[in-house]
Amino acid sequence: MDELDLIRSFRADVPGPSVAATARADRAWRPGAGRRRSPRRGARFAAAVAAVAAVAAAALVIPSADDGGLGAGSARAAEVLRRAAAEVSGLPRALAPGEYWYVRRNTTWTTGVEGERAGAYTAMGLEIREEWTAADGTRRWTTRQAGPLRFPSAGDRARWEADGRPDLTPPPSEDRTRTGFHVGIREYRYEQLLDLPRDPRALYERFRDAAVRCRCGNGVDDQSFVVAVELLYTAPLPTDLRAATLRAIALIPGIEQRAERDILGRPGVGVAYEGSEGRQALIFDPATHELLGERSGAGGGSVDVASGIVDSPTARP
Amino acid sequence: MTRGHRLLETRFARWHLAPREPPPGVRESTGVSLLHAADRSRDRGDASAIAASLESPAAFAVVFERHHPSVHRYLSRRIGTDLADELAAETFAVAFAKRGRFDTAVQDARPWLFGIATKLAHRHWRREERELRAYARTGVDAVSPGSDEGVAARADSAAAGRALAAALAALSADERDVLLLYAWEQLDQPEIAVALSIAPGTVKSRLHRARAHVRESLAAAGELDPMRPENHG
Repeated sequence: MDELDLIRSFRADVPGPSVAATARADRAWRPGAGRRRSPRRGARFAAAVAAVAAVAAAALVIPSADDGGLGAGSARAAEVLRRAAAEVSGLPRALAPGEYWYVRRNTTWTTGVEGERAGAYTAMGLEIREEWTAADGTRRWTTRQAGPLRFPSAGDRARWEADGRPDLTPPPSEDRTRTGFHVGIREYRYEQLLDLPRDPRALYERFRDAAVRCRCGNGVDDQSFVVAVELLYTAPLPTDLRAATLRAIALIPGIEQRAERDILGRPGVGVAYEGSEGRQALIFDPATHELLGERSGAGGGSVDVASGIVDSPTARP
Repeated sequence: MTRGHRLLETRFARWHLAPREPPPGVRESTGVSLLHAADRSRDRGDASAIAASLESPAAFAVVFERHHPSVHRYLSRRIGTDLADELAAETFAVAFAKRGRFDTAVQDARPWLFGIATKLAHRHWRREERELRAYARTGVDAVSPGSDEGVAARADSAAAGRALAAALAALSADERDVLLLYAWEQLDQPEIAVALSIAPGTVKSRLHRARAHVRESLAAAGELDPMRPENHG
């Protein structure tokens, strides 16, 4: 199998056009069809909503009011991370076969919508996600939404109302998947993950290497931070590896200590990386140095509200 | 896409990139395009239908019925079903409007139609790349939720789809155009040159570069044996 074979099989099972889409398209070319550019009314809106993940991310960097201005300082940020590493909690040991690591996570999401009857606006919501991850890389997860839509400004709310108050809240969802564990774009088996070095410098080099390989268009330090945070938030790392990851993040040039609040509004000490188009931060409890949550820009972020080892993908600790 | 948005996007993407509501309307199967493409005849009489449509516009329906499913699938694979619905329709509206300029010495309308579709899709290349990267990170593909298994079955590796998504996202939009028309639609290099209105030499160099980039990315991700001799197919 070469790369062309792989490309040919990539997304080979997309559905064909629906009967309705075919009929609309057929009308669109026929003479007298009128305006041909938008054969489907509402398509633009639907597409905007469908692309929320991307659109939201690209369109939104809301200035945070939480900049406490503790001042730049990689050294101070590194000190926060070292203290956090010393006090790290969470999964106490590697998962055994048949066990699941349960996490309940509250995540704020932000979406940019190109309104059909009003201008573009931004809406936010809160998702409660429960996830069970096994050592073989399988996951079960459920999501539901909590509370009403929120808006970053009165203008956003007004445009949403003018747009007919569309329901942007995603439906509850549930799935079982095998997503594996990732360091950057490379998938690891759990045993390989557990074999990651505990030496902060060596682990940092792994993150950096993954960042270079990603060719994601970001700076290497920028991407190294992303790789490390993603690992923290997606893999059931035993405490020694979590601690090593925090110590490795301390070695990423350009990290800064800043005052941040988590999405629940709790004040904390942030370790942030200011990227070309936004800031991502880990937020720690100022007293205990426990990891409270993470934020991306001011609109998005998450906090873990419960976690533990359970013996089935439906059980809670 | 930039780093600052990544985590937000990932977090947010989870609910959205996960299994989607079935789209409205009845889905009809159009078969697998690989077979469709391999099986296609070079002479389907597109030229005569297009020539006839200059006198009798309804004759263009033959071209539409013959090619709309594959143009839609191509767009859908690149930018998702929602946009494919819109842009596939627009492709044929544009083609119909410009049919007087179609070179009827060429029997097969596919290069012409896929050229129009590709140029329309170009408006959305940023979205295309964002969704490829989201797929690479999360393992969940917004464009084709089932495609991970599809690739995995063929590649014996669930990571192959993600690695490939990352590799395709890292290409320039121009390189991706050439590579996907070549690999998915099996247009040959002269046809791609016609489709994209670029020189045949440019097609060759873009294709070479795109394949090399993808091989390199896949090898780095452990999904392709870097020692394997190059296939110039």
